[in-house]
Amino acid sequence: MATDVPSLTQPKNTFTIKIGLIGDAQVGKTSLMVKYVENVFDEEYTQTLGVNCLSKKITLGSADILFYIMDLGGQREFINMLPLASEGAKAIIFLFDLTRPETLKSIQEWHRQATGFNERAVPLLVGTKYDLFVNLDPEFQAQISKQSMRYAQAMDAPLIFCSTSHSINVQKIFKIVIAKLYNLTMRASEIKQIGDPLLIYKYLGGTRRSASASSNSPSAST
Amino acid sequence: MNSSNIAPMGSSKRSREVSDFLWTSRPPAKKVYGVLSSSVDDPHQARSQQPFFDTPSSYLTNLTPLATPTKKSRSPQGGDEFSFCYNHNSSNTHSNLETHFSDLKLYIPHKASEDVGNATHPIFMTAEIVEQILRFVVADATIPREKVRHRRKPQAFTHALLMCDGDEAKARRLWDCSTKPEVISVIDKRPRLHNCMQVNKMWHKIALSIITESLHFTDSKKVRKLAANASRLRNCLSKPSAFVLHKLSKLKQSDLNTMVPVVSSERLKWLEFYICPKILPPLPIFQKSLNLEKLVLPGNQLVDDEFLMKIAPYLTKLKTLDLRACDKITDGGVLSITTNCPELKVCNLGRHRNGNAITSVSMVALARNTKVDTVGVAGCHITDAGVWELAMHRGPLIRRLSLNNCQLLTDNSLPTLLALGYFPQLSVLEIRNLDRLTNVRPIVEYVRSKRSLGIPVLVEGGERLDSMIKKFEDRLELQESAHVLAAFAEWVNQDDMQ
Repeated sequence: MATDVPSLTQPKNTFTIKIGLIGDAQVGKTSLMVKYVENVFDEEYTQTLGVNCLSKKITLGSADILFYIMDLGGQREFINMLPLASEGAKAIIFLFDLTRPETLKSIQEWHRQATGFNERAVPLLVGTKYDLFVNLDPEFQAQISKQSMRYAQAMDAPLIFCSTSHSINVQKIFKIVIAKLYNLTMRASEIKQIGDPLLIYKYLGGTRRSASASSNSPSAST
Repeated sequence: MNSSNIAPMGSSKRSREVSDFLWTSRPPAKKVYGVLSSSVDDPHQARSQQPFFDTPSSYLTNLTPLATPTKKSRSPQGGDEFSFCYNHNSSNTHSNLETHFSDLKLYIPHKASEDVGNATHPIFMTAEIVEQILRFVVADATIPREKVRHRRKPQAFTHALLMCDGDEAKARRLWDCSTKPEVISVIDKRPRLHNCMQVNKMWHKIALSIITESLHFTDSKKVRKLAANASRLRNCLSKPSAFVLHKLSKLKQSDLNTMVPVVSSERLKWLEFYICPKILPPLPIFQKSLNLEKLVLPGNQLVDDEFLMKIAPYLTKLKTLDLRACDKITDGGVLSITTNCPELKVCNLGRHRNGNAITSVSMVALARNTKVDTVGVAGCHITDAGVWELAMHRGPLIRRLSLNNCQLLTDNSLPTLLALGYFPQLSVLEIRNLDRLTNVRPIVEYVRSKRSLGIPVLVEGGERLDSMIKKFEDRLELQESAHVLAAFAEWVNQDDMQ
């Protein structure tokens, strides 16, 4: 009789984490998403019409993480789809182009609008195209770096400079999301030297929420 | 349906005569075709005398071609008929089935003055269609039953709090609800066909036969009335498939005995005397109703072993047996049932008094001889061995177990059996007031593993066990989230793969 009795299955949870990518046109939101999920980089520019989304599953021993990444087209006409990308997101990544200062300036407005829809999400400030930025005038680099640090302070958002084409700090972005969401200690050293790909996260982005895995588990699905 | 609306129609003598003549004196189905096929002249003649006469048949021919094309050959004549009768409603002579139905009215007041014959739509004069309509009306009618509670009452406010996951307002409401004396009201919102019996003879006949297909009473006067008229009405009544008496403490056994010929038949599937302590179902009912599937006699003080032994041989198809609070029954009665009812699936013997009369003997008999998947032995003197026997024989299919107040049970049965996976289908488990049960771990693990598969499991443990379960659940949760966080922390500190 005991043979046709199924043994108890151990429950394994999947933590679904929605992330919104927001920023001006052509800063590299879609590229970053595609790079992270599929690990490919395409030089060619394809305008995002509305919203793109991809998901990536990280399989860990006792639970899975499912990143559900939504990337909002940067053109102003897609602003009405902002709720789609920001509502319910655990983290919102604000991207700007390190080589175009005006895209950093726009972050103010993006941040204001996105927090209107979702003020609990962890914000991250990400500067893209570091590979191009590093070849520019050191004066310019210093100016942009300092400016973005001030923005990061104001937004209480970890600051990361990344390069999608050269695979610099791409993975770090998503690890920081998890570390901030679950209050984990991340040991990767910060990079604060101007001219280097900045990675400043330890004291930013932790004040708003102190979510633990257990308090987030209702959102977990199996 | 309002009777004031119906009255004018009934008073129109002609339509009544016609309808009676057409539909009650002869088999209706044959009549329709008889009119059409016997002679062409006949309906025309009839039409000239009574415009109303032919309407049903022509109407049918117009309806039928959509479903059965073979009858189309007859429709030219019928078509004329149709336009004759109906173009006052719409100028469209080729109207389709849908428009027919949208116009349906049992009684059209403003037409009545000019032409009484057209006041009633012929659809309401066709016995089969009326029957379909009435059946549809009562389709969702249910027999009054004991209110099904999703969860049992909390034992104290602290327990209510526990059941509501700490939501104080909700718990307060739940507790208030359960402390108030229960307002028992069998509010009858079911659609009733009784008004329809007043329309005309045909309607009366159809409605009566539908109504009597399931007999249920909450008023003993009505039972007596029916019992008094039983012999006169016998031919008009259908043989019921259900006979339910709900809380009739005043009904006398003699009244019930006269009901036997009305009730008993091969069609009877469901016999219920819900809290009718002073009456016993007459034996002849069982002798004549060999297809009985559901026998419900909770709270009956007369049902004893002898009675069960007498009726058991006739209950070969029994699936559900509810003998809650029938204190007189002992293992002997249960034994006779189990040996005669191999199909038994649901068996409830729960009680507050005479618990020692039901022991593991009953449990073993149920486990070995029947197909039980739902067992209620609340308050009985069941031992661990009895539960083990059930698990060994019926374990894989058991769905509900009610073991409240079974004081003899210990950790050696249920927790052990759950841990070993003997009850894989269990979805409701009632284990209130089991003082010797202390090991809740297997219960929690079982519930969690089912929940992770999306299958809800309800455990009623009473305050003591519920709080133990909750505590253990929290501990497991904490452990698990620590594991998860450790895994996450490890991942965020891994070297990046580029």
